[in-house]
Amino acid sequence: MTARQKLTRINDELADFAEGILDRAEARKAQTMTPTETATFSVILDTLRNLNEVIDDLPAPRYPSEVELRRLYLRGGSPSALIAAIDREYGIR
Amino acid sequence: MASASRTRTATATHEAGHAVSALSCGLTVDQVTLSPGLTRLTAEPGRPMDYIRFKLGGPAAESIVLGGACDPLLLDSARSDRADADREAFDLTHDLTELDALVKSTLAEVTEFLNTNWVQVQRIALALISRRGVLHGTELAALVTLHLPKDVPCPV
Repeated sequence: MTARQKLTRINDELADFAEGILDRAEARKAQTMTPTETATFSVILDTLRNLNEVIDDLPAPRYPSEVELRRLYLRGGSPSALIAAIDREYGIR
Repeated sequence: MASASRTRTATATHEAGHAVSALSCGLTVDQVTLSPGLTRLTAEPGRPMDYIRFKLGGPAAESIVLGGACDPLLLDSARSDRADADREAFDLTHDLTELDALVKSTLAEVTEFLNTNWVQVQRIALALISRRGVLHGTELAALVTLHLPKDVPCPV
């Protein structure tokens, strides 16, 4: 797993957690959050914006050439094996 | 870096305010972006007041997140929105005093509406920051459920 994939996974998990806080406020038929929820949401938002800046600064992912794609496909022998090989060797989904 | 981060969060909230105000007036949002901060509609609003509400949504949301500590119309990021709202208001009033009163009263209404839909504003800001800074209209519509009064076509 590449650094980009790891950070993206953390980003998604944090975003899910923050959405859960908003869902909980909505379930109470409220449009405001409790002080604890507000503080937690704020920390997560701060973390997410920093995390996304780090992700933005990562080098762009490499992409396989057509020749490389053909080589990977021949080695794997199936589309799913090709996807797995691309994921493993290039970190692209 | 810290300053840029703060700007990013403020911009997300600002654009979320524009988006929620637009949706509340039945306007269709094409795309919201974080860099540059931009909320683009699919078409120009047919009613001038909808345009004014849409424009004031950004400064209003930013002011709420800052705890109402400053006049939303004095925020740097709000100047062009205020200018756009003023132009539209002048077309309606043809009088500078009336224009000012109209913009200020509309801003108060928009702020109240956003306060009663604050979770939705936060939802959009969160999505903007966590989804690489771009939200398309369809994603936006799926994301929020606005609490609208039943008998008013545009509540803000």
